[in-house]
Formats: sequence, structure tokens, C-alpha cells
Amino acid sequence: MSRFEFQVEDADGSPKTVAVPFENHDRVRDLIERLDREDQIDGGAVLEAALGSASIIDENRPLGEIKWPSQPIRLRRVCIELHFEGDSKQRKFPVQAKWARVHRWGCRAFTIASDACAHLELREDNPQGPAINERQEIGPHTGCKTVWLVKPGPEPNG
Amino acid sequence: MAEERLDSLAQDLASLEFRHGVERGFWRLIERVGFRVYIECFAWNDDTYVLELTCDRYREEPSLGKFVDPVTRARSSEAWPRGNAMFGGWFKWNPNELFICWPGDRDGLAHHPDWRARAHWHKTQNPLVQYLEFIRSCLTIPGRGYQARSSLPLAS
Repeated sequence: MSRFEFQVEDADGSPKTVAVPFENHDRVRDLIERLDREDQIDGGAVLEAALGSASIIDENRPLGEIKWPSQPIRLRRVCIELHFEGDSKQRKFPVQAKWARVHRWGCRAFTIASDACAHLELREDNPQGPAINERQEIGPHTGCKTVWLVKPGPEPNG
Repeated sequence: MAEERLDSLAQDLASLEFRHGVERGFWRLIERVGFRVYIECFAWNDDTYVLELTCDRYREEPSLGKFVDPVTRARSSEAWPRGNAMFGGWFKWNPNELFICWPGDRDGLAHHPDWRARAHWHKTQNPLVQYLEFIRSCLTIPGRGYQARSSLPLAS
């Protein structure tokens, strides 16, 4: 039995160590699911941050094949409050996670079908707020940042 | 009067909304040459396209958008973003007829005279950003059907 261990720190709190056990034959997605259950932090984003943002994680890959970083993993996390139509949910993400992670989680959390999800975008503060570039990092902030998952209006064409 | 229009363009290039798009990595001003602006537009996967916007009669009439070669500034089909049928409804990359089919584009209106009554470019204080927001949405929202350059067959 191995352990995936990392330290998380909130903007206003002291560091906390999270340790999640796994077997080498477990798949990446198993670990993501276990991480997801930890303190409302996004498991996929944690793993991506731990392995480097350039990593393309195959969720079917056995964990025994992953080359884990030798240095201790320290992550600063921030809170996102995501709104979709009349509903809202909160979740924590590592500051270096890309906004695309928030979009992906939102579609799961609000049970939006993948074809409908592809027509949505993130907007800051309110449904008409500035668009968010999903390739960029969430970045540090205090409190819980309000973001909307919206379907932009139709654009006529010929 | 013409100078006033050019000043309006300068105002909109300096606007908060335009700068927001730059800061967010959606677009970047390359240069302005008289009433033409050259803007680099970024797709969701970092593909880049150079949009030439002809803004004579700015705010009075819609701008004319064409994608151009980043080096020669020639209007060629290779410089245009491509995608599925939905995307192709807006972006016409046929070498014989390159135009953007959207109510805020001058050539779009030439193909759809009935759109003129909508005066789409008058529905905003900042037609430049309105235009760029349209391009941004098409290049960054996957459901709009943009196809990454790397997924296209190589030109012979």
C-alpha cells in the first residue's frame, strides 16, 4: 500500500496534510475519486498540480506507473462559488489549476450533458461579466470567488 | 468628421473592455495603420490568427473583418480558422469568397441585406470589442465548432 500525500494551505488558514492510500494497480481515476472526497478539493486539479501542469493524465493508467515528484507537494487552494442557472456550488482548487478544471467540474456537479457543456463558458461575477480564459490559471484570491457557467446568446449566421 | 471616427477607434482600443481581452489572453493588438487594425486572436488551444479590421466609418458602419497571413498580411484562405458546419456558417474560407458571415461585419451585410435593419454594430458602445468578442467566442467555446490547426489535413 502506497500513499499520495500533499499539504494544502488556504489563504487564511494553516497548512494541513492530506494522505490518500492507494495500491499500485489502482488507476489514476480511482485516486482522483478519493481525492475528490477530501475536503471539497478537486482531485483532478490536485493531481495535475502535483505532477506539473503540462502533464497529460491518462485516467486509466495504473498508479504504479506514475513518476511521483521527489519533493513534498505543497498546494495553496482557493474557493470558487460556481453558479449555473438557479443553483450554486462551492469547491476548492489549487491556485495553479486552469479554469478549464472549474468548467469540467461544474458540468459534473450540475449534471450537464457533455454536448451541452461544450456550449457553455465561464464568466466572472455575474452572467454578463467578463469571459474567463479557461487556459489561464485560477490564481490567488481571498474569499470565495463568484463565477457563472453560462450559455452565450446565439450569433446569427448564413 | 473622419478624424472623429478615428478618435473613436483610438478610444475603443484604449478601453477597459479591450484591455481586459488582452490581459485575459484572448487577443492582442499588433498594430494600427490608419483606419485598419491588426489583431492577433487566440483559440482555446493557443492557435493564433491575425484579424485585419477595416474600421473606416467606424461606429457609423460595421467594420470589415478578414483573416490575413501573419507575415505578408495577404488575405488568403490558409490564414482563416476552420471548423465544422456550424463554424463554417460564420467563417467562409473558400478562396474565392473569404468573408465573415455575421451581422456585425460589412461583408456579412453585403450577403444578407436584410441584416442591415438590425444595425447590430449600434447595439454596443464599443463595436471593436463587440467584434472581437464574437471572434473570441467562436475560437474558444468548443460547441461553436472550431477545429484545431493540428487536426486539419496538411495542405499539399
